[in-house]
Amino acid sequence: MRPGPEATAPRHAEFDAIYQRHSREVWALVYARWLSADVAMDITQEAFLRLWKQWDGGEPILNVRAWLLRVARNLAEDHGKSSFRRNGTHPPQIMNGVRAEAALPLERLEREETFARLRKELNQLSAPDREILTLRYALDYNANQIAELLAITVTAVHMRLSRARQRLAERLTAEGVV
Amino acid sequence: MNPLPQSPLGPRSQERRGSDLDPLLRAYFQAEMPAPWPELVLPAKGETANAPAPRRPQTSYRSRFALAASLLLLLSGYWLLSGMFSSYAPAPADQTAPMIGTNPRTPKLRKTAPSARPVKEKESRRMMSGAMLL
Repeated sequence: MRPGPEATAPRHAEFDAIYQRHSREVWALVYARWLSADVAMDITQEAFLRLWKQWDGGEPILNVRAWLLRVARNLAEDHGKSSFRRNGTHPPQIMNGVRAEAALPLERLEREETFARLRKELNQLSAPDREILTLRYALDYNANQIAELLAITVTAVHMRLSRARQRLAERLTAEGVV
Repeated sequence: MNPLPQSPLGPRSQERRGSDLDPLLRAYFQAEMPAPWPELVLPAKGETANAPAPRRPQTSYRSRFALAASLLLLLSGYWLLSGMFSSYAPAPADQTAPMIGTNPRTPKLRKTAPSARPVKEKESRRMMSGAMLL
């Protein structure tokens, strides 16, 4: 049986609460995969839209967070399969380097350059390393929160985080970024 | 004794470098995150679930119709042809005509009665007793 109009507003409010609670996590996981904020946001929106369709269709979802993260991961992988069609003959590295013609302030320019080099080095890391760094620094999650999200122990989080930071530091030092 | 080759970054310095990275990484990821966080735009009520199912392309309907018509044609053709030849009956065999595969000059084999063997045994016994008498 479909919900009546009086039931729609609470459903919207409930769904919005879920969006506010989990959308940043979904974004962070997809961002860690592709290091593109726009792609991550597109996939996040798509994942939530699919969740809404399931709700609207009356299909129950027991663990919304796990469902969202799984769908987002699948969508991120699908994005990889179709990225060549989307980007044509230009690889993402070139597309990411395309900038506006307007001159940037010097400070911002330097910052953008540092970030571009950091992005390049992050891209060389493994996906688990990128994932844990994104959760730690983008979402400011502590070890317990990361452990819960990734279903690993707190000790493993500390170890992975430390190693990821070390690997990144080595790369950035070799490149003269820091 | 040769000292072990040292990594350019010792564990301590690596840790320090790692902690030095914190502000840079935090600034980078915070800059990457969309701000303000975009709102989710949901489709209008029932737009997804109440929407009519997408119509099948017309080619599907046509192909099904063609399949049904061809099946109908096949069955009707079968019934028609079987009805046309239902009055056909094979001509009765001519008893006087020679059978194919038999030579008319060779005499027909005489059928032996089932009691032929006991008769033969009696005759042979009689012949044997006659020979003994001789």
